[in-house]
Amino acid sequence: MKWYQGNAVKQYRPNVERQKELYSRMKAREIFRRMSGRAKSPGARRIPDNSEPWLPGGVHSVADALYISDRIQETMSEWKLSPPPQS
Amino acid sequence: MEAIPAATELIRFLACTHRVVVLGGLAVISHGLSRVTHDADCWLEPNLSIELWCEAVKKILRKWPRLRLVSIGDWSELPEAELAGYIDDFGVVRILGATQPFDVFRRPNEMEVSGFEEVWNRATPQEDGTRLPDVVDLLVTKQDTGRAKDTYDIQFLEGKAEEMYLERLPRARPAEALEMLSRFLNPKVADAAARHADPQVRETGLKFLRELAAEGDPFARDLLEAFF
Repeated sequence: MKWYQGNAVKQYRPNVERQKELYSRMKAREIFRRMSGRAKSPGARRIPDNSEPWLPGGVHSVADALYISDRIQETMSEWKLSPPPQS
Repeated sequence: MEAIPAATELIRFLACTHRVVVLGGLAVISHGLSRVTHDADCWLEPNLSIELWCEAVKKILRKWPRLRLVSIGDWSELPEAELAGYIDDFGVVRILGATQPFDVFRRPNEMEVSGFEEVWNRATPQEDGTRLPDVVDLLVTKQDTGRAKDTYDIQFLEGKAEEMYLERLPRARPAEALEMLSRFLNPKVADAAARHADPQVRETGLKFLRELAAEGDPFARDLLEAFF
């Protein structure tokens, strides 16, 4: 990250190693598509987003954010799913 | 018997008398990522002297005497008398005994004490008196932590910042565009800047695209090739 004159917060840049990894995955997908003879269809229809927010009015406080975390935790326990590593 | 307070109560208590910016998982959830968090993090205004800063933390312990301070690395007990020296070295202390561990930062990851005013001024006020940092500031605190668990947050926040930038940057006046570029940069954003109507923004965008390519970013290298 770099400092810029007048800024007390550094400039954010993505991690180069992660960019390389993402690039490799993208290229691998392209090669796989080519080899399997499936071109990316420009007219492919996407499934519309049908998810509903945990809190319809949005998050307005720390308590709201914690409420969402607790509901997700409950739902994951219900479905016996193990969460990804999180803080 | 004294009830166990929720970490949210501790944050609200701090925010009654001090400026508090929410960080970590709670801030990421507030920005829209559906995920779980097991602790609460906040940045307590660091512009206070170290004594006053520590006093603000100690007030929490006086209100809820069953809470205790621990060091962030090994969770070993931290006597109140050692707080000032500890915080000067490590920049964060953990409070245990509430419903969630509560980390109070004086100097978050990749931030300097002097950055607080900027972050505070850009942050969104919340109903409980705290502020939610903007996406880019939150992203900076997640940068280079080396923790695998931050990968999801970074991916989400980068995507959100990029979408915001690609929407705003082409229409931004030169001064605003340059200010935006000084805070957040990725290959697509640099590319958008390199196609801006203003020559100075175009030049800056191209310079950044070259820098990213030179740092080894393959996306930047591809985008740069399209210019020549």
